[in-house]
Amino acid sequence: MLLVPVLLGISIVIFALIRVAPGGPARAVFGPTAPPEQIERFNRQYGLDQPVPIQYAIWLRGILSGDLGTSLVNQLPVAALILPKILPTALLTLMAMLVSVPLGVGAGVLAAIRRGRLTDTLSRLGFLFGLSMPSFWLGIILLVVVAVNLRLLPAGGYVPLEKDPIGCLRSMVLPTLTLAVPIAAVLSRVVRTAMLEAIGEEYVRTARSKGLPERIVITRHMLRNVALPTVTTIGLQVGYLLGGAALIETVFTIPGLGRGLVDAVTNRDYAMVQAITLIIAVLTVLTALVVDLLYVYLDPRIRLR
Amino acid sequence: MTAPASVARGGASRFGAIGRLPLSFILPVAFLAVLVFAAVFAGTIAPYDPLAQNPPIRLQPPSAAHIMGTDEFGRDIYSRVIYGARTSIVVGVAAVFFSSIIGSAIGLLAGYVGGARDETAMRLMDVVIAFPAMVLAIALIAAAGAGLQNVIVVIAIVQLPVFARLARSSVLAEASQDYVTAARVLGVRPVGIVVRHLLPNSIAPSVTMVGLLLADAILIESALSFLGLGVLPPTPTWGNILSSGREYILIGGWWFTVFPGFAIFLTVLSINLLADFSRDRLDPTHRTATQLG
Repeated sequence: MLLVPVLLGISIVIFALIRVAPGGPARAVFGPTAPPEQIERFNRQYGLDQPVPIQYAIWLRGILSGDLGTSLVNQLPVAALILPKILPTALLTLMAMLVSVPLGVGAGVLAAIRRGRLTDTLSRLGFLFGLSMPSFWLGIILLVVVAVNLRLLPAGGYVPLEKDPIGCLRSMVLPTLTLAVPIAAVLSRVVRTAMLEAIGEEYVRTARSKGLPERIVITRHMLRNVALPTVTTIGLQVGYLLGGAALIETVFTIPGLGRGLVDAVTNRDYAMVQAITLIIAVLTVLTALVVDLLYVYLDPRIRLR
Repeated sequence: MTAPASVARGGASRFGAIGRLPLSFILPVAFLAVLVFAAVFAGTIAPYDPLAQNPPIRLQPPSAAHIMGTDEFGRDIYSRVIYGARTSIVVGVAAVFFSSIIGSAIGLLAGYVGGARDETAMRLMDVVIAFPAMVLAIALIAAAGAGLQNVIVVIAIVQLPVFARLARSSVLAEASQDYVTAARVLGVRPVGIVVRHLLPNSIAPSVTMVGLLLADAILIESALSFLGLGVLPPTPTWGNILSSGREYILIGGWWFTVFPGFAIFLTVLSINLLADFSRDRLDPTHRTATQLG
């Protein structure tokens, strides 16, 4: 994937988004019966009366200098509104990653080692359930059972990390679990397949015939083989995490980027929609780039080529 | 199972006798059959009008008269879940229908024509796929507005690159085959070659993908409706029934969250099980891999 053309393409798509809104953003904000003067003033204020290529150039120049525009709802700079939303979403996605990777890799390795036995079947069932469960539904059920009925954890809401780190972590447990389940499910499948491929390889047979204990064969030889597809999958799931955050943050009322995006769409705050979509898309593309770079580190064969 | 031996043997040659089909095939087929039947004949099956409000019996837990309870307007949730099946199936099937047809057409033509036009089409698909599906869907809804038709179009756009890439890769694999060269030498026009030779050969890999993306489309629709950005009330969808139930679940109104949630879960699970099954059966390479593994 070529980075620059894709990033440019992303910026054009996001720029085009609000131009295709029926009647333009002004009509969407003020409604179909708004007086023409009000529409005109709005368009002049946001530069919407300029030719489209010039609008794009101005918009892009603004973004590159950190100016994400002005909120159409409360006239505040979008960048300032978005900044506090980044930490909750970053926490949520990172924690979900930290939970799902050991869970998925563990389940996949166990399933491969105990292929065809009960553990394998259970892991397959877990995979299908995790993949088919709507995450927002799982979130609501967890919320009701664990938070409302058992009163073990807070029922949604976000405690700022800088104010109360422990309270913050407690408030993130359920959202993290909810977001981690489908990722762990997908990972377990990928890891299982990669492990089964490794079992058939010559070097594993060699290691075994050298008399190495099975534990060493698995950890030293097979798990290395599993690293590559695992990293690829994790890279692909980052987009899913950021998209899923919109749902999970809504269920657990966390003031993050995802919830911000949904609110912005509901309020027809196009500048916010553009800015948050842009941030998420750029993050996703950059993750793909990091994964490509990790390949070189994980697989010496790529370096040699 | 007392099926005639000839039938059993005939079936066994390719798919195995019906009696030997695993439960993981029979159960999802049965569930989806019931679901499609309920969606088609919703008007006859649903005991109540899904839109009929009846305030005196609002927020009632499941009972003999209302087996899934009633919602905040006294509407029968069982009837709404049945009509919701209709919405989910219509959106899922229509979205995957459009994305598979248009996406495959893009992929087939791009792969066959090659050059700058191929490059442009595929870079465009790269851009679409660079967005997380859910985020792109939400952003497109922001531009187009919520509603049934827009949800279908939005999901179709999000899924477009998958089919385009799949069709293109099978074209690239087939285009160098001798029979394609022969057809070209005989003077068959490019469109003729694509339709008559490349299309049939690219369908097999798309079948499993159709299943997986159908499951995905249903999940996206329910998620959008849950967020209030999908199919709008009062039209019942599983997602928006769940969404309205959110406000009441904290005060004990579990029924309008649990039942539509199960409907989504079982439907998506059934489709995933069938996609898994068809991949095992249709793809010989995968079958060997699982049997060896």
